[in-house]
Amino acid sequence: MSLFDALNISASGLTAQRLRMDVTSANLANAQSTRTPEGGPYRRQVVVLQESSGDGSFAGALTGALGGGGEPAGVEVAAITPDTTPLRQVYEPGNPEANAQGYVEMPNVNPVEEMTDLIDSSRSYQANVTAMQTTKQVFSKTIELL
Amino acid sequence: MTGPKPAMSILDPTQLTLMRAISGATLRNTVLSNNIANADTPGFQPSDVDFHATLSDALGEGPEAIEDVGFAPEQLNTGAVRADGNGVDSEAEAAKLAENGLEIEALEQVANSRMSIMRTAMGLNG
Repeated sequence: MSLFDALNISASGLTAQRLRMDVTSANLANAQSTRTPEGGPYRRQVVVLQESSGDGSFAGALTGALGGGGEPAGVEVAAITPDTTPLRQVYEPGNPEANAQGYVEMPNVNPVEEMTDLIDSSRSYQANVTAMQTTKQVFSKTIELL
Repeated sequence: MTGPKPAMSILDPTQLTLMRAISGATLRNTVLSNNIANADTPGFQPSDVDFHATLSDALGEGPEAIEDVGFAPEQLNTGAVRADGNGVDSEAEAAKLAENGLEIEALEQVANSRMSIMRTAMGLNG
């Protein structure tokens, strides 16, 4: 464990929450996109977070090899997966994307849900910033001991 | 061989205890930061470090035990506070982090005062 572990952990939280905000913004921006490079309408993307095992770092691998482990290592993004809920069917016979029955498949993005997600991730981001400030304040006091 | 062992360092047991308490509280700071970083991780259960209990056990055993004391985080298993199985109560974690930060500062202030007494005794404070 090093002095700056706590700062790195809070930084991993900042990265994860920033990515959630990016993905939420992409969902909002594409709420009406009926075409994507993969074909079909846009599907809402969901960020899956997981606790970081610290295996990626040298220190983490060393602790693991020595039978340690359980050292906190922050958070990481496990995957960004598409939401599999059904797409919205909108009756719009004049739309070039409409099928034979006159229905257009719209993205399964609910703007209200995205806005609450955006608030949630921005609050979590702030919580990590506060944790970082506390740690920084404590460490600067520790350095004064020298 | 009987009789008390000679002191292992120039620091007296109180100073040593203060130093160990600071390292325990620093680990706790790391663990609580990790809880906050994982406040949105599905299925995550928060951990904490009960360094007070570990230290007071070591204090009961004597100065050597304090010198060798080690701290480890423990999972709390608070149960889920959210539908995704996450058990982190962000407000409670933030409160614990703030409290722990103040505790580290208090410990450091005491450690620092004692150091300055020692420096005076050594004639290093002018």
